[in-house]
Amino acid sequence: MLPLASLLIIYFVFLAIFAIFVLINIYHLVASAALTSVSFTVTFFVIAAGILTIYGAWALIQGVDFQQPLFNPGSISDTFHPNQF
Amino acid sequence: MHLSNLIHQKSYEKVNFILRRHPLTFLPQIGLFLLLLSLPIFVYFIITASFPTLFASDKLFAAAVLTASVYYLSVYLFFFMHFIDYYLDIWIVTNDRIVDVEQFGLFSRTISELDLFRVQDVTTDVHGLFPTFFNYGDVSVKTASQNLDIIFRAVGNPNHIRQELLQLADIDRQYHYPAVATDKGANEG
Repeated sequence: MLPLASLLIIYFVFLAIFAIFVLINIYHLVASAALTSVSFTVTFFVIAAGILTIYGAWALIQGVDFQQPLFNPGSISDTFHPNQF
Repeated sequence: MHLSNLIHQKSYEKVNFILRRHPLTFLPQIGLFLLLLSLPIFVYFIITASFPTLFASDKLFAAAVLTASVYYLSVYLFFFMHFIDYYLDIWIVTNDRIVDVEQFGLFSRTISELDLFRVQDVTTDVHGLFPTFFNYGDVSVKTASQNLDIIFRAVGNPNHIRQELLQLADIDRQYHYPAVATDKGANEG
């Protein structure tokens, strides 16, 4: 059974890709001699927003038990049970 | 890196203009960015209204939070890449040449140069409501050669740039063809 933590692994892979692309963008700014107040502001905004988003996600999922199985039979049918609506 | 390294500035060369597209041309991207940012809020309200107990499940809640986080980070990245695409289209005019640096996406860049003394014709094109009101448009620089024309896209104050370019090209021609300039001066005298 896959644990719920496998979602976190996928998330971390995505974070690595995000970081690589942000670094490539910053490299372009440096290599193109485009280090101006405008490019600094936009870069700061993107990095700050990214950090806040990651922090927000971390704060929200702190109480979740990631050892529980990702799928267990019946959980989906329970969630979408006609009594729920 | 400094601009002089980017264009391999010569010792006698002086940078007259560094041009970028007018900031107003980036407004549609900012609008799209704000729209994409607000989208999950509507989706959240629709989902909670339709399935009130959906997020009571730990697993679905965690999956939703991580998905939303991935979505928002992707939107920031999308915005940043569009900004790079916009901001790294640069036209540099020196007293010797025009350097056209154009960025296409993240992994494609074209740099072309044109000697000022080869400039034959400079045309401006201010087309549309916003360009007319906010005074921006295209400046096309043509040479006798068929294969190299440079277009400054959506730059501010295009008519002023056209006049300055023609003036700079004249001065550079006098430097490269002094005999022609002297003959012309003698004829005029």
